[in-house]
Amino acid sequence: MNINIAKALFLDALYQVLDNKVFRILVILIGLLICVPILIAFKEDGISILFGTWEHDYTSFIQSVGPIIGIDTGSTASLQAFEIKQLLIKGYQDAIIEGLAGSVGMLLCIAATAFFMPMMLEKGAADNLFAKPVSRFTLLMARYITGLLFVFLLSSVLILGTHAALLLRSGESDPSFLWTMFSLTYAYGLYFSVTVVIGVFTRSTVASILLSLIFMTFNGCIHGIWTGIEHTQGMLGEGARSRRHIEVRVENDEEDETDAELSTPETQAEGATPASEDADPPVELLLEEVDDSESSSWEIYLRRALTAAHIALPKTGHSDLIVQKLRSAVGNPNDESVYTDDLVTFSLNGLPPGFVASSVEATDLQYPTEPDSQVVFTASPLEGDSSTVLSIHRRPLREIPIGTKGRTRTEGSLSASKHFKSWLEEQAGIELLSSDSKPIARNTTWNYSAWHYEWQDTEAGFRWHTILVRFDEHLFGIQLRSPIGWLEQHPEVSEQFGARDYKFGTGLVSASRVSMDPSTWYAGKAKWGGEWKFSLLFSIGTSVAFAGLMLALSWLRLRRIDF
Amino acid sequence: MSDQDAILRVQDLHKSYGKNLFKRGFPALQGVNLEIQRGSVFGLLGPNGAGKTTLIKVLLGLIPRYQGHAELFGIPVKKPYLRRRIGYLPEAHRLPPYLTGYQVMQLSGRLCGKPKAWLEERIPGLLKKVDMHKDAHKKLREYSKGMQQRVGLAQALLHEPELIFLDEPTDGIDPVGRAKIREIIADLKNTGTTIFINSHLLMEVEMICDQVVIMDKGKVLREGSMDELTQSAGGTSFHIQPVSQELSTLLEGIGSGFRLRENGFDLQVDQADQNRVIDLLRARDISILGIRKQKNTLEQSFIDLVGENAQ
Repeated sequence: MNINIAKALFLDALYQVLDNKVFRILVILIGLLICVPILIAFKEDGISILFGTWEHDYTSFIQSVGPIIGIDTGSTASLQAFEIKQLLIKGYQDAIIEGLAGSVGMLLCIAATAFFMPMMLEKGAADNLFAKPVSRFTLLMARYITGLLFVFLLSSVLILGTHAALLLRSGESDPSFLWTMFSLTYAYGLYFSVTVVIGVFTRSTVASILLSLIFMTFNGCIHGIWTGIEHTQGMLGEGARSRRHIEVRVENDEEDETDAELSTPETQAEGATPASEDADPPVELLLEEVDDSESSSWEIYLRRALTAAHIALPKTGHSDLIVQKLRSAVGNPNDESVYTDDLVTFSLNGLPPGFVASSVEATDLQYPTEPDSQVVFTASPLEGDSSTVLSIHRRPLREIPIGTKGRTRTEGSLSASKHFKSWLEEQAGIELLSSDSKPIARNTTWNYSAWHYEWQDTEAGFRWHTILVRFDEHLFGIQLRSPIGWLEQHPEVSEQFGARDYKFGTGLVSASRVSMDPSTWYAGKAKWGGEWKFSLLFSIGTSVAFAGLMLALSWLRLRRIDF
Repeated sequence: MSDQDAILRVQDLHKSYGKNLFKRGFPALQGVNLEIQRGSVFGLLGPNGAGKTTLIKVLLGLIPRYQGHAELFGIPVKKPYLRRRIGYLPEAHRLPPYLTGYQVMQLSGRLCGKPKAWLEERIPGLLKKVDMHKDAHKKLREYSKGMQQRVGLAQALLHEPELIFLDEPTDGIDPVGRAKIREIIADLKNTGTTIFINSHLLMEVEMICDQVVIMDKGKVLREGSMDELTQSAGGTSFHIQPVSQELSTLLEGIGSGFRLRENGFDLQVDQADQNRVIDLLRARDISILGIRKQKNTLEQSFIDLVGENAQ
């Protein structure tokens, strides 16, 4: 295409958009959104509104405004000021991203550009334009690309403006936030291909807007339902898989097995009898694997149709996920798990203050949890004593004997915990400082519990905190080794790591598998490659193919129109 | 003229609207054959629904599906690059209302592949030519219909096309403006530009065009030069002095259809009879002030042809 023609088409679209009232509303809206972080500054110790006219410390601010903006005052009570600051800033950034990518902004962008095609094809206007020496394909693509360009420009202004405002007024810079410009444009590009095809076929702006909105709703429902079903199935499947080979006869006096005692809602729904800690009679726990054989044929067809629709339709909701992965791919640790296990969906969401990921050799750690454990992650303080190390150990669950008939079963976290305790006691020079008789964290829904041990080797001069937790068929040990007395000098680490009220799922460690929210569950599963259901490359490929198909249909129709 | 001079050639062109497996559709063009020579001003006439606009749109690539053969400059009309050599003023066009007149010109010129510098040099002069230079920077939504038409004409001429299609060019233009447009067309003709005009204003066509085609019901009824279409029905008007009743007796037996008028008489005569009439008048010392061959108006020819076709 001749450069003059390209410029002409771009300028035409530019003037057209600038003349559009919805576009003007969008610009005003963006201006207002950028004004918020200019007028409200998040300082180190509190919030400054209107350049110091009102100032509040974070505690009072959260107490008065928290419930209104959806912050749980209880969960933030133990947070320090800088953590609340980051929480608020991230909340604002997320509100912008989700508000724009998912709902209002996207609707307005579609409304602002839906007239592109119909207006071009209007009688009188089309005669003039299509009689120019430009092919119909070029005109179509020019309109589509111009739409993308304008949304990219709008989102760039919003994201760059917000970023600059936060940097200048609050001193906070998160460059990974800038990726959002691309995710917004990507999601819009997928939707706009539908708007274009509707515009070409109906040649009506109103129809383009209405049908696009209907499509957006339909598309969101299809993917939402598919993810919900996959989530439910995944959870049932994983629960069943972890136990399907177990036909357990729990001898209450033989084994106090916490994991086996816990039951999921699903197992209850299926009629399995949950074992209880003090249940006298032996309990036969039979869990059946969930598969299609339990469903009626129409359910199977419906599910297959849903899967087909999920594959075929553009996965616009994955745009944020793709950006998150891009953010982590370029090594921003702020919002991404510092460690994600490759065997189970276990992740370490953050590090104690001052710690960074390191590569300490397993042999340098002394006392790895147990001989068959593998060290999968280490972190050390950025400054200070290099002998302080946070490590994650992983080992497969063992088969342990039950009763006297030579039968075995897979150990649970209690068994593993007891085994660990025995092992510790066998080690020479080890002094067990504290071992809890009950788990420090327990989730009865998704069947895990965590156990805490504090121990030291006076001769070596080290103290350990170990948290043991079982996920799927693996036992994880999250362990902090520090010189004796180090933790007393670092209460911020001590608080986070050694506390009895350590919170799983909301604190340092979480397992996304245990989330009840399908989106969060899916986000935990999603990777660039791997199984198609969770592959982001597959998501991008099928979504782009869908957009391509829409444009191809538009072109096929456009080349046959008699003006 | 040789075939090489034909700038436009259409052979057995058919086009039906609304045709599908179940419907025969409405035939807009039924075997149209046409050839236009370079440098001529060509008028396309016909009643509503005759297929004139369809024919133009086929030639401009606006109607991609048709049967038959259509080419411009010896190249099939479906090639988009061909349109760099063509200017077009559509009927009832709707130029972008969000642009100014000047911006419309820039857009149009750039779409034809012209560089910015070239356009900046040419646009002001052309806007002045159509008397729109004073309002060039107003948005089109503020223009009257006539002003939009003038800008439309200017954008059609902007890239110096070899062939220009003007569909109702004087629509909405006042008499002064029409004269201006006729002047522009005459200038274009002098530069060798071929002009194809579709208009309902037969007087305009009669004044401007040297070749005319009359179409009806998707067919070409007649094609030829303006003289051929408005040829004499054989009548001659004699302007004489003095006029007397005796003239009918004097000219008895010569020609036919004698009709006395206030300043002379009309008579259908051939050249030999015309000479005899002159001799007789001169012999009677009657002054001959003028002799004029009677012609049909284009309108009369048009009505006659379309009327015949309707029968």
